[in-house]
Amino acid sequence: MLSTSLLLELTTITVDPAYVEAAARRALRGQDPTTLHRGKWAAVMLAVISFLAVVAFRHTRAAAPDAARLRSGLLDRVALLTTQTDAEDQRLALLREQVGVDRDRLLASSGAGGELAQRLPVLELAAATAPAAGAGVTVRILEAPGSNAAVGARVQDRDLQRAVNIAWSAGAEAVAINGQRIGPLTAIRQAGESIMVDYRPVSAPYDIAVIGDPAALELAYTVSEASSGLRAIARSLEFSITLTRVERLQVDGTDATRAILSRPLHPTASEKQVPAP
Amino acid sequence: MIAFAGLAIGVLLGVLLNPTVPLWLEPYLPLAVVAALDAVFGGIRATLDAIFDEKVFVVSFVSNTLVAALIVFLGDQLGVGGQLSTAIVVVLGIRIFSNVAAIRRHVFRA
Repeated sequence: MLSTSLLLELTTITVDPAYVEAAARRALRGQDPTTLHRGKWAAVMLAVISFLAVVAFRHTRAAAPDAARLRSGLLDRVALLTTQTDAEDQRLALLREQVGVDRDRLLASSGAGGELAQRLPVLELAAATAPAAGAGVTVRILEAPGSNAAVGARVQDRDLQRAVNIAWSAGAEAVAINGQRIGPLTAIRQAGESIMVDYRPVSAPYDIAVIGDPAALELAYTVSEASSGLRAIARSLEFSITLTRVERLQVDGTDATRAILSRPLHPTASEKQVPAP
Repeated sequence: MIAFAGLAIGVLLGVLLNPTVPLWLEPYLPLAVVAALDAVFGGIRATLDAIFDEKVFVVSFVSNTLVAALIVFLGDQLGVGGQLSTAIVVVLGIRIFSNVAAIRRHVFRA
């Protein structure tokens, strides 16, 4: 009850009771209760109040750039780290190329090596480490227009996984989503509202480039049992799936590879301590 | 008139002196401003009711500010300073609102 009466008092008795009492006292003393007592003290008071307001205003204004500076500092750091990562990526590609050249030279020096060298392109294609080119189809998956509301009504990781698996089931040689090559170790995962392919975000429209027999691929995407799940989802959520035959598609190799069996010949101190996964 | 002169002098002093706010005073400054607004609107309301009293005006502002500062200071010591300053802003905000509503009724008769 106390709390409600407090709230009631707060909202109904709005004029400061002190003013009413002061007026009543003046009336008691026989003065006109409505005499306005305005003088220098009220003016001093107002000076103090406006001074306070100005100081508070300027103080808040001065604090705003600090927040902006913090934000731009973070953005600068993100940009710097992104450049560093890009540089490391470039170095990695260069080193991979060197390793490839060294490997080819080594394999060419012996008969058994020559046989291995012949198997390499096939394995590299399967591991998706080498760029690939050839005839195929592109599959474009579009969300229904205005489907911005629920994540459930949008293309999700498992839809893209299905689409990629249909390609594999039709004997595809190479698959890429929005330019990201799909290898045996590439993950297609949901992270919040975005889909990560190889830990890099991809966004709609999703263009899946598939290299393989175009006729078989078309069949796989339109009538096969494997694609029935995807087609059912596309129907109910109004995704549009467009297939286009392409004479010559080109996809990059992936760098999502891991050395599983190989070990450094001369491990450095730090590598000795870290057991291979 | 003298009241408006006081207002102008305060603004001028604030702009010209441009004082830096000490760190320990920072949490209390917004509260002082809100308490001041409450006192000002209360004063205007009383003026329109023809019961304005200078002493009440000065004392209500000073005591409101002191009590608000004291509550926030105690709250800071207890670790609930932020919540208590919110409470003060809510209470004073409601009062400002109802005073402004009364002023509106006086001025516009609506």
